[in-house]
Formats: sequence, structure tokens, C-alpha cells
Amino acid sequence: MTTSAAIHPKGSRQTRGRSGALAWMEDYLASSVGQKILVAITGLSLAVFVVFHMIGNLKMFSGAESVNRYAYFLKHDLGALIWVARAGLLTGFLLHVFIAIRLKMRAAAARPISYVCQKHAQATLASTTMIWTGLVVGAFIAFHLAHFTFAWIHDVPSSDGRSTTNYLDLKFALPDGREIHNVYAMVVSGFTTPWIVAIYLIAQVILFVHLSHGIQSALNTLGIVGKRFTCAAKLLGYAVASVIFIGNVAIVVAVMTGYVSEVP
Amino acid sequence: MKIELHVWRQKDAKSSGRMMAYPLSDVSPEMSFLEMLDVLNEKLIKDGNEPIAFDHDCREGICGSCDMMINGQAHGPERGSTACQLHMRSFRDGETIYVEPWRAKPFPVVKDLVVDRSAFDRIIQAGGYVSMNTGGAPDGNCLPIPKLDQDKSMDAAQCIGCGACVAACPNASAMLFLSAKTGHLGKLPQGQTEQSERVRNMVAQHDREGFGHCTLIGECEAACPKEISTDFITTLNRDYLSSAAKSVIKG
Amino acid sequence: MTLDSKVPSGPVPEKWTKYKREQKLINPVNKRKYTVLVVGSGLAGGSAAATLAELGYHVLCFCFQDSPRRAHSIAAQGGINSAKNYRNDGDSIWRLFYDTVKGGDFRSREANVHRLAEVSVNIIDQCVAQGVPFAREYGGLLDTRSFGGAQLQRTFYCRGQTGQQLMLGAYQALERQIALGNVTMYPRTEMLDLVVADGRARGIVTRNLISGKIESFSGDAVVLATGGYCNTFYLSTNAIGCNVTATYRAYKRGAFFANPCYTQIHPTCIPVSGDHQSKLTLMSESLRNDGRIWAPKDAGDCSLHPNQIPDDRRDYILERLYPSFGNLAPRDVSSRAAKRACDDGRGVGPGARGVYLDFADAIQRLGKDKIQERYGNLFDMYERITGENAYERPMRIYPALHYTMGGLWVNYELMSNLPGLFVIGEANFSDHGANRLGASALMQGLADGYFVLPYTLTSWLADQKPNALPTDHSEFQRVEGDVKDRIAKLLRIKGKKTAVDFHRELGLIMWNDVGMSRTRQRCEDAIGRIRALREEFWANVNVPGSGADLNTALERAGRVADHLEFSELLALDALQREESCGGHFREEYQYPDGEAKRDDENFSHVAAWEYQYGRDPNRHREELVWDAVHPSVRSYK
Ligand SMILES: Cc1cc2nc3c(=O)[nH]c(=O)nc-3n(C[C@H](O)[C@H](O)[C@H](O)COP(=O)(O)OP(=O)(O)OC[C@H]3O[C@@H](n4cnc5c(N)ncnc54)[C@H](O)[C@@H]3O)c2cc1C
Ligand code: HEM
Ligand code: HEM
Ligand code: SF4
Ligand code: F3S
Ligand code: FES
Repeated sequence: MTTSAAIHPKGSRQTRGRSGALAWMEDYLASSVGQKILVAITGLSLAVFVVFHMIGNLKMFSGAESVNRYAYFLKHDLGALIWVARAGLLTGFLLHVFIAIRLKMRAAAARPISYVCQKHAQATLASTTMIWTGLVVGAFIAFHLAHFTFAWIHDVPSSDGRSTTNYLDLKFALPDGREIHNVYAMVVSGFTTPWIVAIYLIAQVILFVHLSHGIQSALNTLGIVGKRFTCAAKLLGYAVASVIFIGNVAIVVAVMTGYVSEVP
Repeated sequence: MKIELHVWRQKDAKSSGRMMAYPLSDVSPEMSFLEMLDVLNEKLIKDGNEPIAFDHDCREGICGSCDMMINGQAHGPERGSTACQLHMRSFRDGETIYVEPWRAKPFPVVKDLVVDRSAFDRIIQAGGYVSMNTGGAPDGNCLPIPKLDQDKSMDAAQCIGCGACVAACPNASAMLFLSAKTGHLGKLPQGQTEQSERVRNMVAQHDREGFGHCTLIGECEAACPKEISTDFITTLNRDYLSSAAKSVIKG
Repeated sequence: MTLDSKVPSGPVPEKWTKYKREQKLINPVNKRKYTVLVVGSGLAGGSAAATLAELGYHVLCFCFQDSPRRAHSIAAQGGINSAKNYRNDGDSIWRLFYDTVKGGDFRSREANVHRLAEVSVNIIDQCVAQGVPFAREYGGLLDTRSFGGAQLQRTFYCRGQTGQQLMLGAYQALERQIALGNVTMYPRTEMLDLVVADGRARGIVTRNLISGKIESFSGDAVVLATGGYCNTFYLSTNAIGCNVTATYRAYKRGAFFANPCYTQIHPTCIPVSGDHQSKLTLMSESLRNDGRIWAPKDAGDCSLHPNQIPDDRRDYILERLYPSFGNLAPRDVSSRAAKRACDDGRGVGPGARGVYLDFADAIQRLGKDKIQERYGNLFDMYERITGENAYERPMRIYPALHYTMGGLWVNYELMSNLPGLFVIGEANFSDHGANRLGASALMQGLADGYFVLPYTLTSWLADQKPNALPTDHSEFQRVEGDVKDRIAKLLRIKGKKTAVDFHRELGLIMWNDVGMSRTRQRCEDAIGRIRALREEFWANVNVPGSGADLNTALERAGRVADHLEFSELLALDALQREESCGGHFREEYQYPDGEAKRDDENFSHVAAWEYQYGRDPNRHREELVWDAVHPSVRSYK
């Protein structure tokens, strides 16, 4: 055996902080914690969108004109802004899904052989099924877009039952005579079909589950909670998830039961 | 008491293993779990078989050597305890007990229940220390540290490096272990200086070893024999964010 | 052969300063050319390996566990002494020195102990800077407590896990050097022999515990930091893996073994519960700060529930015998008092091997919360093992073997009589004499590793040219051959008993005959029985499997084989030390009240044993010189 140089010629094996934006991204964003932070930021933004979306949708309760005007405002008055928002939303969504799935695949690879017998001591169902609830929510969003945004799923039957009208062709006449898209009628029509209602309700449950763990986890990931706030984060998570759940379900149920109907 | 033991037997790292059943009668409830395995091993040797290999040393819950999944739980059913501190009185007469090695890609099985946990050492090598050489330290009392910080630091420093957190985590994440070290050093002024580099380097090594990420499932905390709280993972995340921010500001 | 202790001249308090002033140095560039093999990664080995690497030596470090962090030092609970005098209670380097010498029953080397007391101050600073979370007071400054045998509060602690935290400090320093490429770590590698060529230690032969590969490592110096030999007694508070192999093999290659009969019994262990018992669990001695030790006055009361025995029918043993130290009397004194009570038939619990340690008064005085804060984890540990709640009924305790003061002989520079072989930590014999005080083993391990060896090793190496032998040198080949033969022999026997069976039997012989109290007759008996047992071992042990992979039975058998040889040396030393001192108690030599009777006239020396092939070992003496203190009767009345 030889007596080699004691101090390694190349110096320390650790990486020093490197400079440059790309290096920074590689150092921080590519790590499991960095990726997790991205999932959390995008997840929280999506949750914020869903909250505002729900508030908007609750206008269903204040009449057709109110919702229809609101929808018109978003799509026309905002102009290009809506496209910016949509692009942001889409990127956030794709990032969220992509990174979450990638992390999960890495995690699965970290346990190539599973246990013959495994018991959980304190894990909640929500925390262990994030990927599955996430995928269901993703599928729901696809369905939801096809349903309302692209109107591929279902048409409104005319009163004589002979023909149907596409959702997007439903019109609403404003008092000033302008005709705008009748979102109100579209939603009412959508939620009078039982199987569609079922999909929505199930999706709301799954979304609740995803968010009930997702929000507290995201707060943790962002390092926002500490000893005292762990409990608060949990509460906040459940609270937001519940509000979204109740708000959304209220709309579906109100239409289904006829509380909100075509003829106000 | 009588029990039926199902133990993972695997000849070496390359072979594939399987569960083997060993019925045992006359087990005393006063025995520790490892003493029960000793008794079985003595029998196996006398019958000319190879004993079950398992890691153990101190047998009092501090060295972190012992590592086994007992009935689907890391270190067995008792909270805040290692496998070596578990006693047979925690089991029912006639119970079937499954014993498996830690399962994680970065912890390859070496033989039977023995796994290679050197990944943990490498994570520490990436920054789990204060960079100071022997000598030249100022007087121990020249740096007052609030008792609460000290306590918090000690809470984290108790980690015995057993790997139960990884074994129990559905994502096979070593975040609890890692955050215990960054939590221990980060709470002290001595360790603060390097905290930013430390968290980045240790997390990078954690990933390189192939551990999964943390999604706050919390099984690690339940399995941890030292009951280290997942709050330290949150603190690590915060330190990580601040490290990223500092790195942007300082370039 | 005369043993030269190489103690520098001059007054005791100035020897270390003088040594450092005169020590030889090596320039940093040249340090890289020296390879140092450090066997052991405990407090002593870990701190030494890290510090030597920081200085620039090329270091290889070995341990048998899967990570250096798991060395047995991790299990120490109570604390570490230091002469900081932060309490202003009258402590000083001199006092720590004196207490340690007196605690060791005047059987240690003055100069070493003084040096230990001097560097004890640096250890605390060093560890704080490393981030060891020592307990603190509300003002933010370091807290201390008092510990067995000391009337001062000089013990620093980290809850009940001081050893762990100090160990992790050293481990982290070591990992840092590994990351820097200055130390190459060999975990799961057991040293099975020492290679000596031309009278100088040249390297070691190891077995890779995973692949079974026998390998040689060569260096300019070999440092043994392999801990103590408690496990020769089978049941002890030491970790299962602790062994005498490394030091015993070195002994067989010519290093002298000093004072093997100095073994320490710890008074506060959890009693044995049955035959399956594989080790004993210690509860920190700090419990004695608030607990009171008692046994029923009347043997008839032993079977009663302790809380039913009224105060006037309890014998608070230590308070009665040693009013000024009370429950804090030194370990050996306390252990024997407890054993005597049990021998009188006043023991409690299974097998009547136990006395009570009662917290009822302390709980009343301080409140349960305070007690829980101080000892919570110990109470939990006790409950886990015994199933009893110590807040409600007193603990049962019994003495158990805990520490070994004997070890390889070293001079002031921590080098054994074999040039190039250094021995540090519990593995050497030097600082604790016949008895170690609580919280001073951690101190010694770290003192040796951080602050002594780095100086003395440098000074010695400065006179040597860097020239590690190639490992294909004939002496390496020969020793490798010996090691392989021995393993093959163990695997060939295929007898009827397991190595653990033999170990258990050996333990019984040792505990009963060469344990807490000894007689000429029993030592002689023990030697006879050990020889017979050893013979049976080599004819009837069964080691399954092969030597070519992880074979825990083979590891155990190899260690037991060494215990079986070493135990004879221990008994022989106990036989020939015809006095009682510290942990060595010979029933023939005691005062009428049962106190140990030292014989300074004839035994104020270190007994250093030299191995002789095929013959009884040679007993060399190193006379102890008393310059600074004068041996007195060690009284704790
Ligand atoms: C339960 C308990 C509590 C204690 N509490 C205290 C306390 O409160 N205060 C105090 O001061 N002291 C205490 N002690 C004593 C103290 O812990 C030890 O004396 C001290 O830690 C020994 O350190 P060491 O570095 O010499 O050896 P160890 O820590 O035993 O390290 C030995 C090292 O050598 C290695 N090794 C051994 N044999 C071989 C081999 N053949 N080949 C390769 N490597 C080998 C091991 O892997 C290990 O790394 C306690 C001891 C026990 C048992
Ligand atoms: C296809 C769609 C989706 C998938 C596959 C998905 C998947 C996941 C997964 C697996 C996680 C766990 C974090 C991890 O494992 O890294 C997660 C977290 C999260 N998700 Fe989703 N999700 C989806 C859609 C959504 C939507 C629509 C929202 C909001 C309404 C959302 C909000 C969150 C939040 C807040 C978190 C917490 C982030 C964290 O744990 O730090 N997710 N998602
Ligand atoms: C049950 C309650 C819900 C109702 C009544 C509802 C209603 C609607 C309507 C009417 C539109 C179309 C707006 C338009 O094109 O004018 C829409 C779009 C959309 N909804 Fe919902 N929605 C509900 C729940 C959700 C949920 C839970 C999510 C997400 C998880 C979601 C995500 C979206 C998205 C992404 C769009 C497209 C936005 C855009 O076009 O920019 N919706 N929703
Ligand atoms: S964090 Fe807990 S479970 Fe994980 S290694 Fe440390 S002690 Fe073991
Ligand atoms: S169980 Fe795993 S997911 Fe995180 S909180 Fe613990 S590491
Ligand atoms: S054997 Fe040491 S922790 Fe279990």
C-alpha cells in the first residue's frame, strides 16, 4: 500500500454554491425539496383558483343575469388578460401534475420491494393517496372542460324533445338588448342529468380529500408552519377544503333539487 | 408463550430472499425481542443451520444498530422504542409475527435482516457537522444559548440514525433523519453559519442516494424511536427556501 | 525488560507544559507521508482519527459496526467531568486531578491524571464549538451537576445521553475528514491481529465482515482505541459487540497488558430477569442524586410490596454507612454494600438479587414534574424493561460489570512497549488506577483523542522516516496465514454447543469467582475451570456457515475464543494482586468493617503482563511514583 497525499488534491468533495441562474435552478429546483416546493406553490395556486371559481359560480344563486354578466366580464371585458390567466393556470396545472407524478415515481423507485406486512400508525388515508386523488381530480378537470368549456358531452334538449342545442349556443338577452352566452342555462341543464351530477359529486369528494392533506402539506413544504402552527395549518387545510366542497356541492344540489332552475 | 415467527431470509445481496416460518414455544414475556431471536438462533446453530443475521449492539436503544420491521411496523408496535427495547410482553400468546428488513433502494439488504445504511453516513458527510478543527475553540460559556433553543436542538440531536423513518415512510424518504441533523445544528449559533450550504448539500446527497421525497405523511414520526417531530422537516424546508433566497441575493 | 514510563521530569503540574514545549514537530507537507491506522471509532478513536486527519496525516479508521457512529461510547448516559469551575464551588485542575487519583485508589500514574485534568477544560470548549448541545441554564450558560464520588458539580451533560452527543460530535468531525478525503473509513471491518516486524508495530490484519475477506493494512503507527473487555464476564452493561480481541491479539504479539484485574462494577443496573438475559442495562448513576438506596432491615420483609414496608423497617444502606457521601458514595463502595445486603438474604425481586432505589422523597420534595424532567427517559427505560412504574414503586437495582480500568500498558506518550503501537481510551490502562470515577471515561477518551495523542504521536513520528511496509512483506503474510488458519479451525469443529453457550458459562465463572469480590482460592479455581472450558470450546463449539460471507456466529466464536484466553490472565492478575484496591476486592484483605485494605508497601505498582508462548505470562512492574499526592486511606465515611 502506498501512502497517498492526505489532503485530497481536488479539495473538498462538497459542492459550493455555484453562480448563474441555470446552476441555481439545478441546485435548488431539481432537488426533492425544490420540486416539492414547486408542487406546493402550484397546488396552492390551483386551490386559490378553485376558491375564486367557486365564489364566481355561487352567483348562480343570485340569478341568471348575475352569472351571465360575470362570465361575460371574464371572457370579454378582461380582454387579453384572460388569456394570460388561462396560460398561467394551465402552466401551473401541468407543472403540478408533471412534477407530482415524477416525484411519486422516484419515491416508488426508492422502495423496489414492498413489505409483506405493513401497518400504518398515524398516516391519514388522504396523505397516502395523494397521487390517486390527484389523478381523479385531473380527470375530472378534463371532463369538466369538455362538459362546459367545449360542450362536447351533452346538449340541451329542446322543449319538444326533437332537437338539441349546444351549450355554447345558449343565449341570454340582457335588458339593453345585447345577447350574451347563457352560462346559467348551461349549468342548470348540466346538473339535471343524473350521471353527470354523480360525476361532479364524486369529484368534489375526491377534491376535498386531495386538498385536506394538500393544503397543510403545502404550508409545511413552504416552511410556513412551525410547532405552534402545525395544528393551525391542519385546520386551515380542512377549512379551505370544506368551504370548496360545500360551495361547489351547494350549486350542484341546488340545481338538482330545483332550487335553482331554468325559470327563475 | 407460543409464537409463530415469519422471517425474511436472504443469503446475500445478490440472492433473492423469501419469508420462512419458525414456530417457537416457551417464549418468556420478560424476554426482549432480540433475546427471543437469540434463542431461535441458538436452536438453529445447534441444528447445523445458519442463524438469522441481524444488526444489534447496545441493546438499549441508543446505538441505532437494530433495524427490523416487526409486524409491518418499524421497530415493532411500541411507540418511541427500538426493536431491542421491545419485549415479548407486547405480543399475544399464539401471535404470528412477521419480521422483515428495512426496505429502501438506498438500504440494500446485505443478508437476512441486515441492510447497508452507509447512505446515512454519506448524507452526514455532505454537511452534517460544524466545520471546525480541534483546538482554538473559545470558552464554552462565551456564547450564551437560550435554554429553549438548546432543548430544541437536543430534541433533534437525539436521532440514533437507525433508519426507521425511511423504513416506515411510504415514500422511503430520509427527510426526518436529515432534518434531525439540520435541526440540531441549525438551532445553535455554532451551526447557523453554515446552515445555508448545509441544507443544500445534504438534500442533494439525500437525492443522490435515491431516497424519496416527503409529503408529510407522518409515519416516520410514529416509527422514530426518539419520537423526533416532523416539525423539523418543516424547519428544514424553511431553511431550504432561505438558502435558495440567499443564493439568489448573494449570487 | 524495564518499563520506561517516559514521564517528563519536573513538578507534576508542569509536566505536560514541559512536554509540549519540548515535543518534536513535523512540517505539514511531511505529515501527509505518514499513514496512521486507527482501530476503533468510539470517543477515543473517532476523535483521534479526525484530529490526526486535520493535522494532515493520512488516516485509515476501522470499526466493526456498520457506521462509526455506533461505537459503544454512544451508550454513555451520565456526563463528562471538567475542571471548569463555572459553579464557583471550589473546583480546579488540581482538585479534579486529586479526586481522580484518590478515586482510583492511588493506583494510577500521577502525571497522566494531571494531564487529563488539564485538558478536561479544553474538551468542553471543543465540544461546544462542534455543536454538542450540553444542558444549559435559563441564563444561557452551561449547566453542571454532581456525579458519583464528587462533592462538586463539575459534570456537564446532555439530558441522559451525554455519550451519544459527544460521540456524534466526534463522528461528525470524522465524517467531515472522510468527506475531505483525509480519512478512509472501514466500517464492518474487524481487526483480528497485529503485525509486528523487527519489534515494531507495522499494521493490522482484518476481516471484512460482509465479504469475509482477510486483508492487511500497513501504517507508520497503529492506534488501538477498541474499548474495554467487560464482556469477558458475558453479562455486562457493554454493547454485545464489545470485545477484547484487538487488545488481546496485540498482547499475544508482545504488547504488555496492564492490571487486567481492575474491573468496575456499576451499582445502578436493572437486575437479571432470567436465563435468556443477553446483557444488562445500566441506569445512569445520576439517579443517585435524588434516589435513596435501601433494603429491608429484616429478610422476612423482602417479599412484601416495597410501599408496605414502613420507614423504620428500611435500611438506607449507604446513608447509614457513609454519612458524608450518602447515596453518592463511589461505585465500588456502593456496589459492595448492595451485594452484602443481598448476600445477607435481604435482596428483593427475582432471585433476591436487588435493592431498592427510592424516589418517593424526591418526588415529594421537588414534585413529579421536576423528577420527570431530570430522569424521565431513565424511568421510561426502566418501565419498558421491567414493566414497573418507578414513580409509584421504587426501582430495583443490582450491580453489574460496567467498565474495565485495566488495558494495554502505555507510557506517558500513550505508546505501548511495542514501538509504533499507541493505545487510547478504555483500551489502555493509564488514567483511572484501580477504580474510575463517574463521568471520567468520556473525559479520558476525548482527552486522549483530541488533545494528547495528536501531540505525542507527532513527537514520536518525528523521529521516524515515513516507511510503511508493503503488505506483501513476509510478516504480513505470516500473520494473515495465522488468522485464516484460526478461522478455518473454528469452522471445522462442528461440535454440539454454540459460542454463546461457552460465553455464558465463562461469564458465570468470572462473575462468581473473579467478580465483585475475590479470594485466592476462587481465583485459582477459576483458572482451572477456564482452562477446561477453553479446551472444551476448541473441541465442541459449533460454528455453522462459511468464512466467506457475513457470518455472525463466526464473529461471536472468534471473540469468545479470545475472552476464553484473556479471562485466565484476568484471574491470574487478580490472584497475584494480594491486596484490595478500588474495583479489585480480595476478601482476605479487608478491615474488620469490610472496607478494602490496600497494601502500598508491596503493591503500589502497575502489573504489566508479558505474553510468553507456551508458558505462564511474565509479570512486570512499573512502580508508581508519588510526587504530588500521598496515598491515604480512601475513606468515604
Ligand atoms: C452503559 C454505559 C454508560 C456509561 N456512562 C458513562 C458516563 O456517564 N460517563 C463516562 O465518563 N463514562 C461512561 N461510560 C464509559 C464510557 O462510555 C466508555 O469507557 C468509553 O466510551 C469508551 O470509549 P472508547 O472510545 O475507548 O471505546 P468504545 O466506544 O467502546 O469504542 C470501541 C471502538 O473500537 C471498535 N472495535 C472494537 N474492537 C474492534 C476490533 N476487533 N476491530 C475493529 N474495531 C474494533 C468498535 O467498533 C468501536 O468503534 C459508560 C459506559 C457504559 C457501558
Ligand atoms: C391531475 C391532477 C393532479 C394530480 C396528479 C395531483 C397530484 C398531487 C400529488 C401527488 C400531490 C402530493 C405531493 C407530492 O406527492 O409531491 C399533490 C399535492 C397537492 N395538490 Fe395536487 N394533483 C392534481 C391536481 C390538483 C389540483 C387541481 C389542485 C387544486 C385544486 C391540487 C392541489 C394540491 C395541493 C395544494 C397539493 C399540496 C402540495 C404539497 O404537498 O406540498 N392538485 N398533488
Ligand atoms: C361544481 C361546481 C362547478 C361549477 C358549477 C363550475 C362551472 C364552470 C363553468 C360554467 C365553467 C365555464 C365558464 C365559461 O366557459 O364561461 C367552468 C370553467 C372551468 N372550471 Fe369549473 N365549475 C365547477 C367546479 C370546478 C372545479 C372543482 C374545478 C377544478 C378543480 C373547475 C375548474 C374549471 C376550469 C379550469 C375551467 C375553465 C376556465 C377557463 O375557461 O378559463 N371547476 N366551470
Ligand atoms: S430520525 Fe428517528 S427514525 Fe430516523 S434515523 Fe433518526 S432516530 Fe431513526
Ligand atoms: S413518513 Fe415520509 S412523507 Fe415525510 S413526514 Fe415522514 S418522511
Ligand atoms: S441494539 Fe442499539 S439501538 Fe437497538
